Amino acid sequence: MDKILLIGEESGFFKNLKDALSDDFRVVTCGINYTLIRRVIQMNQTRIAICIKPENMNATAVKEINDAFPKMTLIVICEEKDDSMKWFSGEKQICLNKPLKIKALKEDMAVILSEPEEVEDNRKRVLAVDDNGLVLRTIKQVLEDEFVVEFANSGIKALDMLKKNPYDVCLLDYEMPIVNGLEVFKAIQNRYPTLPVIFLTGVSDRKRIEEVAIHHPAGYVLKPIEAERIKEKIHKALA
Amino acid sequence: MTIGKWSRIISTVFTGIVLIIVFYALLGELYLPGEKTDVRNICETYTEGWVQVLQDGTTQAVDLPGNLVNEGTFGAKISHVLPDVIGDDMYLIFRASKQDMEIYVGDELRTAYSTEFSRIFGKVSPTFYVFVKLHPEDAGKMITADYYTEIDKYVGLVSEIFYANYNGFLKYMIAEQGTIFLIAIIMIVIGILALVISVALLIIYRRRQKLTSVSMGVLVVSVWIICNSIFRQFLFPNVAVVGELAFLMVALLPCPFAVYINQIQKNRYEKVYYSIEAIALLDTILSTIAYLTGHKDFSETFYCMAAVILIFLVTVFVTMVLDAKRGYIKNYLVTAIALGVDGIVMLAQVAIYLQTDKTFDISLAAIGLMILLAIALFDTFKDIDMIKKEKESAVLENTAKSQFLANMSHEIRTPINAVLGMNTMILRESKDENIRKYANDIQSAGKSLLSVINDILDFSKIESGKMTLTYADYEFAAMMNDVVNMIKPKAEDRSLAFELLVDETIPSVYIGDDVRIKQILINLLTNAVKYTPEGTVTLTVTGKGRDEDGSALLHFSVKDTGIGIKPEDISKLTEEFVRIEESRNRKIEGTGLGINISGSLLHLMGSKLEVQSVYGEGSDFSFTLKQMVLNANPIGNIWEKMQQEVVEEEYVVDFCIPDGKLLVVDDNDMNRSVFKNLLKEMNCQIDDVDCGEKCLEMVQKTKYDIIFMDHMMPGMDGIETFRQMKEMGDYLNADTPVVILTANAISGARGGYMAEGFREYLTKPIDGKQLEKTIGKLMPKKKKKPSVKSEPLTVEKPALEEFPVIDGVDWQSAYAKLEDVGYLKQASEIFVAMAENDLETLLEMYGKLSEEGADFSELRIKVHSMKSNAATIGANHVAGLAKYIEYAAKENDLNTIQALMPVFSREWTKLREAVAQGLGIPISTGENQTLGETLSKEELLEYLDMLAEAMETMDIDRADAVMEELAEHPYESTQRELLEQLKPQVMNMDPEASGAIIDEWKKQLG
Repeated sequence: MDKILLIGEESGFFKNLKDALSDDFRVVTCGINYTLIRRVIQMNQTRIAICIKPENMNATAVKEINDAFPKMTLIVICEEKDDSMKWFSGEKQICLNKPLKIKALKEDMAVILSEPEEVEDNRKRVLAVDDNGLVLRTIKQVLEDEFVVEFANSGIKALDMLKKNPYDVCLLDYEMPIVNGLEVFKAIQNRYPTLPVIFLTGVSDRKRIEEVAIHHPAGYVLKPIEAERIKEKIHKALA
Repeated sequence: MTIGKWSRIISTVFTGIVLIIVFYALLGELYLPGEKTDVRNICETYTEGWVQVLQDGTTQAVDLPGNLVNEGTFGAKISHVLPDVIGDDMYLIFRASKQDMEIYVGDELRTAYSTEFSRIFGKVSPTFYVFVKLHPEDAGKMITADYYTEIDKYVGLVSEIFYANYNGFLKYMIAEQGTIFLIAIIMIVIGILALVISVALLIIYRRRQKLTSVSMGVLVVSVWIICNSIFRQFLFPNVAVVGELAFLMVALLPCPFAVYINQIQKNRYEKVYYSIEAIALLDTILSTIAYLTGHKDFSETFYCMAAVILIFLVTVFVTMVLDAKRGYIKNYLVTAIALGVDGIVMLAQVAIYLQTDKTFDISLAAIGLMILLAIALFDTFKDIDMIKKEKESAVLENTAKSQFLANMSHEIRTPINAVLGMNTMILRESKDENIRKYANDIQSAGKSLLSVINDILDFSKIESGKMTLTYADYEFAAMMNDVVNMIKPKAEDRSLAFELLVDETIPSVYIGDDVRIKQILINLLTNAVKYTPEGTVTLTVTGKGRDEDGSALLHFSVKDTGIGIKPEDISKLTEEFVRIEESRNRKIEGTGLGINISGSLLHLMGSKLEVQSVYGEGSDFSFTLKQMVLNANPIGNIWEKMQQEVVEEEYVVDFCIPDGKLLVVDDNDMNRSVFKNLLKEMNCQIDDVDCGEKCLEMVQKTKYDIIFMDHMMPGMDGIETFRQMKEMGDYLNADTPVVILTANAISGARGGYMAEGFREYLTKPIDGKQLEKTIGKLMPKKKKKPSVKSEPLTVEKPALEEFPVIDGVDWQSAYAKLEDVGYLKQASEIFVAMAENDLETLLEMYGKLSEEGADFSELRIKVHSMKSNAATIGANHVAGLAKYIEYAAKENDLNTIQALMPVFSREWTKLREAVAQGLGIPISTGENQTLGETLSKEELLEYLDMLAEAMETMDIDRADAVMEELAEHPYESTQRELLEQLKPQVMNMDPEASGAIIDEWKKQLG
């Protein structure tokens, strides 16, 4: 169930709204602590945040939050007489004045939540499989600007993820515990013969890679990861 | 005048003089009145009236010349009554044909002839004219001539008897054989002369001359004539020797002529002629043996010699007929005619000899031989002339070739320069994806084309002997770096592994032609990659010690696991343009020139390309080079060294020179345009002119920082312009460095340019990076400013300074891979966070190893992972240690692991602490780190759930966010510990391990 973030100072209105929304949604509350707000939104992948009495808040901060999370809808609830539109800073924003029409609000929220979250993303999807977190993080850092990168730390998980989501290319570590890269590779080949697989390997493993190279020409990349190299290889594989 | 003309004049004059002399002599003797002498010349044949005295004393009339009755006694006697009146000074002259003679006048033994005691070999006396002096008192007496010989044929043979006085007989002899004798003398003289000339020519020109054999032949014949003539007994003291000589000459006669005719016929029938020579020699030897042993006299074996000559003549005739049919005879028509006529004459004379018992008369044939000699002389001098002409034209050809090469080089490279240069501009300026794709294709095709052209030009250079090596000092690692950069991508494209193994003890800096060595290595490696569908390509360099003069001996080997080469094809490798198994290898690109060029270059370097191959399995191309050493420091780990090179290179480029002034001199518009474009980003003032004259004007008006001068220009070329500039003495640009631009591919030119005074030299097509590098080198420092684009670089450089200097940690190489300083820092932090836990786990696994059934693979994978992390932050020495442990674990080698583990553990910890301290990363979080309030149980559970979910979905950002949040709250000790345990697991993105800790924590919360 999606979590709704309720931002505001403790007050009667605040508590009432929380209760009202708790029937239909999971509600997390948060005081006016911008760092925490951002943290929570990030952690929960919050899709709707409701901000009560923004005049107690820093306008710039509100704008920043809205900009920082483009996928999130920010609902601003102002006092009756205030110009709610002055808070308006972007598309994904709703400005409301009190008194609140709870029912209408709930309906709107339901609509928002039912919209598919994913904005169309032309980027290619990469699955990186390695039992070493540092390697995965390196790959993330190098590739996340250009690609959508997802991770698995074992062959089994990788196969699982391949089943669930589409990927355009797979980066596969050679040396992994329990089921090694070669086995995983063979399994992937069987089920997804058109998926390019690029091996991540240390200098000593080359000889074994040969066995594989016959079947699949996408090749290998040496560890430690070199940014240019790996990008080149991926582009080539996607070509 | 050429020697040919000279010699022709000489021979003509000479022949002319000889002819005149002969003519005069003949005329003189035939037509001029002879001197009247007092002495009446008497010479009459005295063959009438002789009787043979037989054994029993009876007499029998005989018909002379002719044969007497053979009584089987080896002797025969005839007698005659002397005339009634005998003048003074009269002789009876008998011809002893291989006979001994005793002549009695009355009872007195007047004359005896025998060489029994004066000869060494042989069983009979040579043919001789025996002079029997007659006195007036002998008139009417009985003269008896006793002939004795052991040769059956000559028993009782009486040929000539003369009654003459000395002068008369002399006249007779001259009349009989005078001419031919004279001719023989002349022949000897000329023959010797000709022989001397031919030997001299042989020495000077080292060419065999036909003249030698002809002159030998002529000498043989002339010696024969002289030795056989009547005059011999008057000329030579020992007639026996002379007689033997005559026969030997006959026996050897075919040999020189066989050689000569064979030469004329250009060895077409050499086997036959050699056989005839062999037979003649054999005959000579056998006859000689027979003669020496007293078995058979030469006269008895003469028929063999004659037979050989006959065979020879027939052979010559047959071969000439064959040549006439095949059309070869045109080449030596004149000689053939002379030979033909001569041959017929000789045949006739042989026939005559066989019919009669007259001495073998070779007179006419001799004249023919003279003509042959003259022809041979003429031919020889014509040949010499030809040789001279050939030499001259060869020199001309060579000069033409060099000129051609230089021109072609320039003509071909100039347009390619324009194409690639313009294409580079497209790549730099276009953002359109499609256009960039096309431009990239053009670039690679253009580079291919350039490579093929370079191959062809190199090949031509080698073929015409123009390839020379340029010696310069070079770093081995830098050379290897270039090679690896070229080959690694090619190997990876084909999913091949590329291995570089360099002996760590070899010196690091050498003097040699590294450009060519690189060329050879890249060529061999490219081939290896091309012909290997799967597997590994390995370049191994081993030091083979030092040579006596201190140079290092380096052995290079390129091994592949490719398709291999059949043994019979290995020799074909060096044939130009031949590619082995064309049908099988058709799909593989290439001109086939590569190995040939490499082989030739190696040859120039005093080395040799060696090939070993097993068809279907792979090949090994290797060679050993001798290189002078400049710096003997061992090179160490080649990969580390190469990384240093890479990073150093990257810092040179990327600056701009807003105050800079450059001058470009090039007659070609395209070239100037390309040049200016390549340097657009430098933002400097670039003046360009199209000829040397204008350049001279410009340099007097403006002070330039660097001048770029094209070499090949019409009118005043680059070198000439430069010289004129130098002559201007102390002018505005007297100190300005001048860089020569040239399409001149001839190596060795560099030295020439430097000697001329140019500061640098760039080849066309101009490489943008090279150009920038050169400018960077030559530009005064103050004018160089960081370019706008290069901010990240200039910002990073100081930023890397924040990384602590830790022994064994190469931040540069780590940065080179990650390309981001921020992430490098982050990676270091992650490393520090995980390091302690990693080591603990490793040591745990290590502890279990000594137990039974230990699992080395678990340890191996762990240390492999740690190695990777260390390498990521550039901690190469620790990574190296990890590598060895990993390898040992692969081999289940507990001993090595035990040896290495303590030091590794120590180094790992040291590394972790050094990095943490140097970068200010907290190693262990104390209580003072926490701010914030204690989380409530719900909140904590909330966060833990979130964390678990994030780890489950491998959502790094989310997991990190939660951890960050959790870290900001205080906890009691057990929970604190759980949090600390969680950290490395989250760093490592390990859902199982972190999940377990989360479960534990949740359990504790109740």
